[in-house]
Amino acid sequence: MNEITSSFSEKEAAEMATAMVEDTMERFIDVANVDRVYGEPIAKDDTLIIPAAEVMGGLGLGAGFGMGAVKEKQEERQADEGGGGGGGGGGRVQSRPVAVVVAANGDVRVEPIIDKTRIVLTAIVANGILFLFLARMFRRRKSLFR
Amino acid sequence: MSLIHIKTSRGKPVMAGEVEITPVARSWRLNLPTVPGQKRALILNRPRAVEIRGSGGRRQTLPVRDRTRRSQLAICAGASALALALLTKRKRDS
Repeated sequence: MNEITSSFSEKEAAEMATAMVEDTMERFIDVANVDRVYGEPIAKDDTLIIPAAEVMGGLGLGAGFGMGAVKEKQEERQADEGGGGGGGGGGRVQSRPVAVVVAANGDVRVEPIIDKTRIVLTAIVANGILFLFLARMFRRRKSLFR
Repeated sequence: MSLIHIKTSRGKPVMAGEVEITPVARSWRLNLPTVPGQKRALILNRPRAVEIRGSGGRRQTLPVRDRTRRSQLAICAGASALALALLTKRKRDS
């Protein structure tokens, strides 16, 4: 890192870090492309199938750089004056099938894909929260009547 | 950069016999506010519809509906409505 701080000015290093963050973010934003949602068409005999999925993603990035002493001119700094930089980030992208577009014999239709597991899990969680809410509500009522 | 960016995009048309199918997708991008040197974003990209053009030039748009998401929202809405109704009833009784 000391070699890097001696090769680049503080401004150049900050610009490099910012450019890296911007470039990574631009690649992530590519998730919003229509090609990520619709898959390659699959042809079988006279039938064409196009899969469609929902894509969700989140990304966080950060980079920073600093020098030990603030000097106006780079020549006034010494190589071992101190400085450093770093960066990090994390993200996740997930997709879920939503529907299938089927084209056969001149007719096109959209067949939805229903994820029963996800629906059942949602029902269990919603009912669980509702049960806890009701239990707390009736417990308070009991304490009022004591 | 705006906080929310909504974009509708069309893909390459695909030929299925004499029918042309154009996929349409809609994306929502949420740019979270940060300090300089940081970037945070959330993206949701989902299929919206398919545009169909027949041999006679007739156009039709078929929506792509997410049945799973709608069922989930219906369950959550039902549970919330029930909880709200019970809470309201309890406040009236007390």
